[in-house]
Amino acid sequence: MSEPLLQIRNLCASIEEGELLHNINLEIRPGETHVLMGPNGAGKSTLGNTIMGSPVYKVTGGSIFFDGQDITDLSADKRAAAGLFMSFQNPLEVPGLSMESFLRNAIRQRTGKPIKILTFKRELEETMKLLQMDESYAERDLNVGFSGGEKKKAEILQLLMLRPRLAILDETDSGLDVDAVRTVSMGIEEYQKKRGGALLVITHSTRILDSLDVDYTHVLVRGQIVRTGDASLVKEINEGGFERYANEKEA
Amino acid sequence: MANTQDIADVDRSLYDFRDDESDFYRLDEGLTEEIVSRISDEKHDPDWMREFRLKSLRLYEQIPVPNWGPPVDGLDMDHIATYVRANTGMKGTWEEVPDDIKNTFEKLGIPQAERESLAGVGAQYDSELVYHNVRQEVADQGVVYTDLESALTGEYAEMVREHFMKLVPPTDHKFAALHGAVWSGGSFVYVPKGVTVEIPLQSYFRLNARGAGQFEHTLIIVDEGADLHFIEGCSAPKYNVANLHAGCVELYVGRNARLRYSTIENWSKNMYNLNTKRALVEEGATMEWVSGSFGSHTSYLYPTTILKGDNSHCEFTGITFAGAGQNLDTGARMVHLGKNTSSYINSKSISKSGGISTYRSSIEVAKTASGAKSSVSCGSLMLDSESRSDTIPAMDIRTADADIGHEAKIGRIGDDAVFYLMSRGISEEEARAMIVSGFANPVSKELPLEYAAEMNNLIRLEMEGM
Amino acid sequence: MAQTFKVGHLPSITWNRLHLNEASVETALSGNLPGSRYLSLPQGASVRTLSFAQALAELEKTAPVQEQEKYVAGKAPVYHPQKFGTGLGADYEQAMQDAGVPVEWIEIGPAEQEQTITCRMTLQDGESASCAQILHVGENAQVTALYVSESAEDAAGVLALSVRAVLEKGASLKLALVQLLGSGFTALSDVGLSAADGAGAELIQMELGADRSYVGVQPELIGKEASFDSAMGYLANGEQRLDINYNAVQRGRQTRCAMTFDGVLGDRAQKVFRGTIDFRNGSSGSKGEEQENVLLLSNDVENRTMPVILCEEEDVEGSHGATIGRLDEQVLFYLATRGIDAAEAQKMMVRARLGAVARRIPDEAARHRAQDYIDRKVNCDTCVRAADCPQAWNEKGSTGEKS
Repeated sequence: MSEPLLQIRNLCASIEEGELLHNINLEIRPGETHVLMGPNGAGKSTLGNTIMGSPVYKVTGGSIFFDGQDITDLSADKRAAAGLFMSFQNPLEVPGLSMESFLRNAIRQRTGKPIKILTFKRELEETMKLLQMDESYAERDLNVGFSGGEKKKAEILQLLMLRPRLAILDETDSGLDVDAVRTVSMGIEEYQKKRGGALLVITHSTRILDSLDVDYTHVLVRGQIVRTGDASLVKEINEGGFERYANEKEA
Repeated sequence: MANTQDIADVDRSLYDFRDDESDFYRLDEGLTEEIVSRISDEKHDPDWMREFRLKSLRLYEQIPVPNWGPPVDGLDMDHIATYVRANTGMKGTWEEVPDDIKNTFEKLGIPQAERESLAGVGAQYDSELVYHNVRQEVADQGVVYTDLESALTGEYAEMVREHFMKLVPPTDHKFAALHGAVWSGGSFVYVPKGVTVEIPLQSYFRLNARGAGQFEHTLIIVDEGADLHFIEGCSAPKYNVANLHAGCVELYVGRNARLRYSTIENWSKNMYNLNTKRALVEEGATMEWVSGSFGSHTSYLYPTTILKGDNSHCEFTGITFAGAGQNLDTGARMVHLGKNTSSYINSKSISKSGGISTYRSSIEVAKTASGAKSSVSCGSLMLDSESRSDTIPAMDIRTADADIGHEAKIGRIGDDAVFYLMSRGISEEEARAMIVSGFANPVSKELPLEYAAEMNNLIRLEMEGM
Repeated sequence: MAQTFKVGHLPSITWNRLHLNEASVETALSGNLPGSRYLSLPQGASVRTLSFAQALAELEKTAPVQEQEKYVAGKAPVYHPQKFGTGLGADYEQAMQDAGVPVEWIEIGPAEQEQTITCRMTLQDGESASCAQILHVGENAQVTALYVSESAEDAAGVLALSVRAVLEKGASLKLALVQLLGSGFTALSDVGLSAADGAGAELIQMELGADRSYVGVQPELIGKEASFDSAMGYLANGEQRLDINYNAVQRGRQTRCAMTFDGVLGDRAQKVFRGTIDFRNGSSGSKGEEQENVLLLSNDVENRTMPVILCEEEDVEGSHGATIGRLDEQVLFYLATRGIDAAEAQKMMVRARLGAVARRIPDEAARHRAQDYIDRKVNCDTCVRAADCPQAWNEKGSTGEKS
């Protein structure tokens, strides 16, 4: 077994009103795909955001290691530079900043090297084609006026362009129609299978998992991981819901 | 150009004249008829201009300073003559130029010769040559592009007389009256009927060639069906030993003509910029303002557009960035007189490090302006709580047959947006700068490419907390 | 004896030529209460009558403690004449004081049941009267206060109203001011509110009558999470003049302010609206918004609008919007396809717009009176001069003059 890429130990995270995550332990190795499931309000997005370094959540205990480096106190940009990525549940709109110049900037900052414009353009074009995005999106302001589906595609576009080693997908499939889920899944597959990228897929449905090979499934209830299993756990939850895990925990 | 030497001479004579007076007398003095008459002598003013200056001087004495807007206490009104004296002199040395300005030149990558010229201490920068070439090129199309003094006595003397300070009369406010009395330098542009000027004319070259003007007068007449883009200013800070700028811009846009007037103002941060700009727009014509205000200690700047002709149209796009020590009061005024006239204002302002920015405007729709449409959109960004941002718009609507919309928003850079960009590997500082640049984008995209790039650099410099 | 004083100051002044910085009132205030007044107070409320000077002194003690106003850099001059101000301002209160207007100080504590203050003033032709009250709403008390002023349709006179409210922690006040005076009245209506932590005020204001009308409202949101929510509706026609000044001062953390103004102007009516949201240092996390919608029915109206935002705090969200103009052509078209002509559509829209505000009046009788007043005015006068209202034109004859 290879060394873990992401290693979370006894992680606790809080907001002003109280603690949301309690003693989370999680390990993800390179190329693995983990699924994080749980009922609404269980803390799934909180965990994703805390791993990414959102200033909204304060780490009150434990640590996060990425690729052997303690990233618990690093700012989000440093985490991204280390190879972490998160696809946002609600991607932010940034008026006046075009998608293309944003991506160029982000890649330049991450790699610290100047970009070969032609290579970049070609890659961008190809990736957009894969995701069935109109070319005009490159020129449009980042996420401004994008529909829900377009925003999610734009997140996957960034995933493919930025080439992270671990991607957290926060409810990437929510609010998408069948065709859009297929396109987005194709993008994720490209990342997972062709590039060997590791995934932490946060979801409360399972549509997006159909085309992915899942290694581990975790169930998060009230800020705690109450059960970890293999891909079959997804099916189990599909049939039985979350209820019994909640009860199991209480017992 | 031949009279550069003369100007320097008269300057000294004004200076000497004042030195001759007793201290007591000088304190009470301010601006006198003698000083104004000497300007007329030197410039060989025609009689009407001589009288005009003196009449303006009397108005200047009567009109009080504005009771609204940023304070102008920093101006020494009792010694206003000293501002006039410094007008054409630029008698400074490179050593006297403040460090922050030198640093900005450095960071913007301005060549040494141009730096000295911008700072008003250098010899003539070679932009004189550029200016000359541009003149030649447009002259072939029949376009007149010259300095206003020459125009006063030349072939277009009558045209100048008909238009000079008719849009901005010296009665308008105290600093318009001051301008009428002591104006000096500036441009005259006439674009004949149906002529489209392909290249933007840039007054920046002209002003640099003669030392940055403080009381310059710009008069532009775009005749029927003609089309012109005029650019004033540049993004590097203009430094001037005297800290009052009271220029005046008068624009006449003929039937079905179009004029775009772009400005990036970046006076050094000790300047009181009390500039008056006004356009008169005839039937079917279009006036476009693009305005960036970055410099000055204090600014009063509200380009006014009089939509006189039916179906005339105006667009104003402006950005103001007020940093430490700055109080920038900017906006626009639209006066709808003709039928089916339309105006559109898009304004952005940014306040940082204790800077104060105020958006001030008025939309006036006269009873005659049936079918008028106006839409105002302004956004303000507060970068910290030491700063201040005010929005003070007025609407005066006197016909029911109008469609007036106004929206304004004030806020900050969202933490979530910063986090979003940071999660893509962009540093916090860079993320904030990107968001601010994006906020300013509606303005920068209206500028020619090299100016837009300069403006973005400028925003980045301001964001670094210079 | 008539006197002249200035009211409704804009907190940060602008070009004098616009004549928007304040309004000038010329009138004679009287120290008398309205001859016919119905005042009902909740059980347990206490009333004391004080002189204006005494009341202001008392108010100083009761009003929540605030820091001294600092001079706002660059805004010279700034009107901050009062520690705890009102919308019409200090000159108006001075005029009331000079006229010898008594102040009724009403103390209301928390109670089990709903607490309602009703003040109905019916004025006679030629009457000049004043009414000044201070409502001290204790911690967590919930109060509804209704002020209705009315007279015969053609009556003339003066009514000067002043309502101050001090809301202690967690208190809530629903205040409704309904002005239905006759066409010869000068009406002044002034409100000053201060809200401590978690206190909230809701204001419903309708200005429908009078010849000259001056309205001022100044909520001071001092405590954390204090809130102000207002809906104002006005209808002016004939030669009516209406001057409105709302000035919301947001001082506390996480305060909320939402103000809407819906108006209709017809004939030769003139209206000035000043609406300010003022975010003070320390108001982090606060939100403020205002929206004015004005429907213009005649080419002879004058509508002047000044929506101001002042801001010295980074962490706030402020917005204002205004739409001014005729009825939307698409709405007219839509209604036309349903068989409704332009004249009827206009009436419907006026009723709809003002009715939405009237419906919020927390008293059934007052609500009906306001709605009746609107109906009467819409049917009689509003469209008289509007070119696209042939029906009203025919009904009234071609002069359009009021009898």
